[in-house]
Amino acid sequence: MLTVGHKFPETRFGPVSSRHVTAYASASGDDNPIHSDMDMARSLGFAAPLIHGLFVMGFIESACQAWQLCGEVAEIESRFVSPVTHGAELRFRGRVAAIEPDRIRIRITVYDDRDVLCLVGSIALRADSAAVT
Amino acid sequence: MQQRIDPVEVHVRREEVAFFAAALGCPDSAAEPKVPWTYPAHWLAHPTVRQALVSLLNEDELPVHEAQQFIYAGDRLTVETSLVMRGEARRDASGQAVRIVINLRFEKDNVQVAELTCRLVVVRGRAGGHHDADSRP
Repeated sequence: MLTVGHKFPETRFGPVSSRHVTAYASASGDDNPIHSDMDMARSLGFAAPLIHGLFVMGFIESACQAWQLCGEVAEIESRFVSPVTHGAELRFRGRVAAIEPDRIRIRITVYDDRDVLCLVGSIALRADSAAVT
Repeated sequence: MQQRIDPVEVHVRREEVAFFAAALGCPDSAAEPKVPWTYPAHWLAHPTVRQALVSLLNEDELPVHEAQQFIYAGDRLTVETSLVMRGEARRDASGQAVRIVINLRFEKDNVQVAELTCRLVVVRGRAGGHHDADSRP
């Protein structure tokens, strides 16, 4: 049974290679060159092209699967705190932030392999469907 | 500055869902692939949304995602469903960000499915960037 404050074990994805980013760009239609063009990335002050933020966000679902957390999602939101460049390994942490009558909210934080916070977000699962299997 | 995204029919196609899920590294799931929670983000590349966004940007500007929220009104989307997408894109008063709101309803009965809100920060990039409304793969 989930309780407020419960922490899920850290789960890792990656390293996220240029090949992975290219596949996501193709699947999502987001062909912004900031995600693929080294010269452009450098001209904007980044060491390498950036991983799509929505790609990073998309791993939240896989993190929940790794945590054996299932249920119908009512809301998923995220904010990108710092850019993540190709080759990064992503570490997802989750904590039960609130249990409300109709939903359970999980706070998500994502760090890169330098331990820099990249993303903060949350998912809200419908309480009548949420479970740890 | 604000641009309306006029209603347009979109489809949750099985092969596109499978492609998107595979890109996210989601396990391959038999005949009925699960639609990833963030799948509606791929409609940000729809020509109508791109056109609205492009019209709010100068030639040398690029939008970069900063924050987004998906609110689902019902159960998980399923494949081979038809939806109607509408929304708006608005550049904020400071000019430093664009907010896009997309609303999705079932085509068959107009029941609300989801709402996607994105905030994109505007950075100065190479002129003639990627925002070609006809460049969607």
